[in-house]
Amino acid sequence: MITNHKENQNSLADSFQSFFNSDKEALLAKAIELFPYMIHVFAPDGTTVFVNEAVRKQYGITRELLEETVIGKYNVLKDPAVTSNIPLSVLQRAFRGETIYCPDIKIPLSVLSERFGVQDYDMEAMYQDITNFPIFDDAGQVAYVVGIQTVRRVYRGKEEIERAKEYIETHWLEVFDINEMAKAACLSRTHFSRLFKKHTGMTPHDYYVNFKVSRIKEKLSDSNLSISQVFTACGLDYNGYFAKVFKEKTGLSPSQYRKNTQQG
Amino acid sequence: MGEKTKEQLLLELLELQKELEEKVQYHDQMIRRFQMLTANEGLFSQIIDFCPYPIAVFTLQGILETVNNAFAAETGATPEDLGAGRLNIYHCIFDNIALASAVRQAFAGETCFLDDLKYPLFRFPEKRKNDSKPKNYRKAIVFPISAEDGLVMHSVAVFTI
Repeated sequence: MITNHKENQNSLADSFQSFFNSDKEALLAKAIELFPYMIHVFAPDGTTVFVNEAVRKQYGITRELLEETVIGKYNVLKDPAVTSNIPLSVLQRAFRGETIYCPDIKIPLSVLSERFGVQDYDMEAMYQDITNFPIFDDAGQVAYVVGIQTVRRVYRGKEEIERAKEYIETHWLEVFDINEMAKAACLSRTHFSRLFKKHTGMTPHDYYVNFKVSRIKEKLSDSNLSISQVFTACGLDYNGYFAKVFKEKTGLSPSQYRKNTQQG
Repeated sequence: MGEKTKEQLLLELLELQKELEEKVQYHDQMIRRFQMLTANEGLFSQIIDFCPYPIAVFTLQGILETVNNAFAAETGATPEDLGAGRLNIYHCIFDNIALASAVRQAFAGETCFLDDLKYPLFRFPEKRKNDSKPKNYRKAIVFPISAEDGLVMHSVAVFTI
């Protein structure tokens, strides 16, 4: 019986067709429901109107819980777990009609775990890029605000090492400091270096350098920034040592790299 | 084969009651869900239309059936192009191995996350209305939409930064 219910629920999306006036609307309804990125839709007062399957799956929310505590009840503007990561004033801008991009937001997994009664999310930490954009009605007023969340980084595996990786990827703009990393991993400096290499195949310094190079590569694809500005945005001096490191790691100078990527 | 005892009958009755309760609960959920969907009719196409990232829905033959405003602005695709089936995703991504492979995999039922793309919409913009440089959407996700018979007749590509 339960299996039948599940099968029926899975085929729920297939039944959309008969509920919509056009084939296009039915197709797009299915696309949103099956969208692999998490989608939340809020009313202008911040109350949740809709979440897609990806939200339920990611946070382990049952349909019952969704209906009892989320839809029509949860208000994003009144959730301290949200506003401690994204300032309320920033969030409110989306409700006033702006598109807001919030990169690299740490998800409060312990709060969600308690809220939805999930024992363990099988990860140490998760960071998401969140884009909030408005939908306007015919009168030009904000009718809904949509939040699309994409997972940027997830930490699973040996807890101490994941904590150190998370520390590096959060403090990559700062000067390399092995003592702070070891402290984040709650290990002695020597033990930390050995364990890190064992689990990642590289030293903490190599990991830090590689991460910095990956961020420079990312920013080089933004043609609005000069190469010198890219380095400054990454906390580096273009005329300094790191330009050489970049070439060693990629085989190309930053300008060659940019030219190469822009040629497609 | 003797008659059932009172306890056995009671157990069977309880089982039946449980099944009926589950059925009622499921139907209630269905009704609430469809109420929500019909109450918000139009919302789903609006989510796609207003999304700041380019989104395209295409058929197994590669014909672009629906694109959102961001995709149209980036590529110059018009409703006339879509209606006439003039834009084919396969023609526009033939030299992008990762994306072409993701599209094929989507029609095999797989969802593909792509990273480190280089101007994936580059081949579309012959009709760009202005001379602005194409944006470099570095990431994409391509996922299938199954029809009632389980066949994948449409897939969706979303491009993000």
